Amino acid sequence: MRHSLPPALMAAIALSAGCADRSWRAYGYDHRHFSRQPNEAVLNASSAATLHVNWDFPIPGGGVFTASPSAYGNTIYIGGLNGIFYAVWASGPNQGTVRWRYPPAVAPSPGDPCATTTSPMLVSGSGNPSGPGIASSAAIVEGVAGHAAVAVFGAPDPNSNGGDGRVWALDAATGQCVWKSPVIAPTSGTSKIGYSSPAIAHGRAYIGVSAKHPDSPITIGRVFAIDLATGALDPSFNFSAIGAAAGGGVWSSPAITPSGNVVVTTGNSCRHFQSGTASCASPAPIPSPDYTNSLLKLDWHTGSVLWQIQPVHIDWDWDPDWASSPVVGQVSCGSLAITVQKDGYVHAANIKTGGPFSNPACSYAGHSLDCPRWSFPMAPSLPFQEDGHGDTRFLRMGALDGDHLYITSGGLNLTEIAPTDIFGNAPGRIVYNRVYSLNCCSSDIDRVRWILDLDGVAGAPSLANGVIYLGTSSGRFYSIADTDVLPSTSSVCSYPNVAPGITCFNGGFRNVAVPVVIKQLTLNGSIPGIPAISDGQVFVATTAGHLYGLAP
Amino acid sequence: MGVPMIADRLPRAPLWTLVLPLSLGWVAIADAQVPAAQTSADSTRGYEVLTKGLLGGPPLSLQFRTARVRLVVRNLVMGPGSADSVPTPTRIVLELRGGALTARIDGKTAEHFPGDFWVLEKGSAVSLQNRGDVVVIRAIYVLEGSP
Repeated sequence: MRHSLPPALMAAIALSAGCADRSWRAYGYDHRHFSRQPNEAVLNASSAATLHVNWDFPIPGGGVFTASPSAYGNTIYIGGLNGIFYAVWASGPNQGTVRWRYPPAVAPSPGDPCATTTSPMLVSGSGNPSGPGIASSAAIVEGVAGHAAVAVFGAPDPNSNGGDGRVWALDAATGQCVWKSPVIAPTSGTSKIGYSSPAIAHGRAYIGVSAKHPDSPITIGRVFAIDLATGALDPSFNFSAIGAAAGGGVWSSPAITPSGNVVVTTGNSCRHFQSGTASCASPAPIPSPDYTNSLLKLDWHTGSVLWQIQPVHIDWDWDPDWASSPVVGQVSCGSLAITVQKDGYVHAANIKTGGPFSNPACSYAGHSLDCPRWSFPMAPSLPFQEDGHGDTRFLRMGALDGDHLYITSGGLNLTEIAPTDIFGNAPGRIVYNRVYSLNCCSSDIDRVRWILDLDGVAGAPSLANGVIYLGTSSGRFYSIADTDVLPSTSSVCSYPNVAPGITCFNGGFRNVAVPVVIKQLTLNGSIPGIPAISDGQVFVATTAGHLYGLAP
Repeated sequence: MGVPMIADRLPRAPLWTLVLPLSLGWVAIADAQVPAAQTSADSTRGYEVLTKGLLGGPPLSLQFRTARVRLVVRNLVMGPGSADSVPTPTRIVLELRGGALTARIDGKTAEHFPGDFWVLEKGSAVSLQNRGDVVVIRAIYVLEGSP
C-alpha cells in the first residue's frame, strides 16, 4: 500500500534532509567519538565500491600526518608534524588546495592576539612519538563570538620557550588566530600535548597532556578545561592522574557522556619504571590516589573522579598504557564508554549518573574501582594479576553504530604468548590486523559478530550507512560492508591461526562470519587515523603527509 | 541487526574427524625428530585437535645434551566448554596463561587462575572445564628416556 504524506510535511522532511549537517567536526565525529556519519547521503554499499582518489594534497616539502582530519563547510582541517595547520578545500574548482595555513607564510600585521609569526608550531627536543609538531586533531566549534566557526586544537607555541604546549583557536574561514590558551604543557616540564584532541562541551574544550619523552621520564597526566570564548583555563576543573611522583599520562582524547561529564583514559605508572628516573623513585611506591592505566569518568565541573576502572593491578603494570580514546554511545542496554587498552583487551563501562561509584569485586587495597559491564576477551576476574599486560600497541579507537562496535582488539589469543613479559618473550602470535565487530549488548558467548583479517596493522575505523572505512600500516584503504548490509560469504575461526571448520569447532571456538570487502585502494603512507566522512567523500590522512579526498 | 549470516557452530563432527587429528598430533609429539638446537616453534603450523574441546599449538622440542630427557613445549587452547579424556602420554607441567579453568584429575577437582602451575602424571585421567571464553595453557611434556 502506498502511503502519502501531507505536502507540508514532505517539504519539511526534504528541507530537513537538505539541511542535515554533513560535517565531521572533531576526532571521532564529535565529542562522543562514535566515528559514524549519520547524515551521509551519497556513500553506501553500492557507491563505495567505486571509491577512487578524487584529489590528493601532499604537504608541500614533505611531512607527516598522524592527526585525523575534520570536515566543515567544504573545508578539511588538519595539522601536520611539520608544525603547520592546514585548511584544504574539500570540493569545487580548488579542491585539494590550501585555503589557508597557520602559521601563515607571511607574518600577519602587528596586533595579532597570538603574537603569530611564520615559525612552524614545533617543540624542540621532544621524543614523544606524536612528533614535534601537531598530532592533535581539530574540533570545529560554532558560537564563539565574532566568528562563524573556529578550529580548536593543541600545538606547541613556537614563540614561547621553544614550544610550550597550548590550545589554539583559529577562525575557520580565515585562519586568523582568535586566542591561544595559557601554557598547559611547558617545555620546562615533562609533558606535551600529544595526540589528545579537544572534546567540546559546556563552552569548554577538554584536553589532556602526556609525556614529552615517553617513559623517560613519564609525566603527571592531566586534563584541562579551557573556556572557548576567551581561551582562559577554567580554574574550577582540576584533574591529575596521580597524587605523587608521576604517571597516568593522557595520550587519548576525552569524550563527553550523555549527561555531560568527561570520560578519559590514562597511561602507565612509575611501578612500570622501577629503575628510577628523574620522575620515578626506585622502588616506586604505590601512589594514592592512583588513576593510572585507567578508564575514568570525571565530573565536568570539577574534574573529580566519579568512577574508575583499572583492569590491571598496579603491581602488574608492564606498560599497558591506555592510549585509545573512549567511544561513548547510547545503546540498547544503556550508555556505555568503550575502549581498547594497549594490552588488547576491550572494556565497556556503564556510564552512570551520580557517583562516585565502586565495586568491591574489581577493587583492591587502596583502589576503589568499578567493574566494566563486559570485557573482550572475557576477563574471569579483575583486576588482572598476571604478566602479559604490557605495551602490546593496541592504540586505535573503535567506531559504534547502534549496538555494533567496530574495533581492533587482541582477540582470544592474547594470553598465549605474553608479548612483553618479564622473560622478554617476543610478540609471537599476537595479531594487529584483526578487526572485530562486537555486539555491545549481547552475552559474552555472542559478543563477536564478524572478523576481518587485513594486510597490515589496522587503523581507526569510521562508518556511514553500514560501510566501514579504515586504513592499514601498509597503506591499504578498505571499504567493508557490514554483514547487515551485504551477507557474508566466508568464515574464519574466532581463534587466530586455527583453520575454520571442524578444527575450530572441536576446539570449542566459533566459526565467525567474514564481511565483504567492497573496495580496496593503495595510498601513499600508513593510515593510523580516522577517515572523516562528509558530503559524499572520505578524507584520509597518511604518515607520508598526504591528505586524500576519496569519492565514488 | 546483530545476527551473523554464518552459523556460529558447525554440526557435530563424525567420530573419525576427532580420532584422526588426535592420533596424528600425538604421533608428532612422541616421534618428532627435531634438532636439539631448535629454539622456536614453527609458527606457520596450525593447531590440531588433542581431544574434543582442546587444541594444541605448534610444538617446540628440546633434547637435553647431558640426560636422556626431552621436553616438548606447546600451547593448549580451549574455547568455551569442556575437554574430557585429555591425553597424558608423559608427565606434563602445565601453566595457566589466561582464562579461568577447573581441572579434574583422577577424581580430584581444582580451580586454576593465570600463573598457576601444576603437574599431570603420565596416564592420569584428566578433564578440563573452561569457565570463560578462552583458556590458554602452556604445557611442557617431559619425555624421559628419550630419544
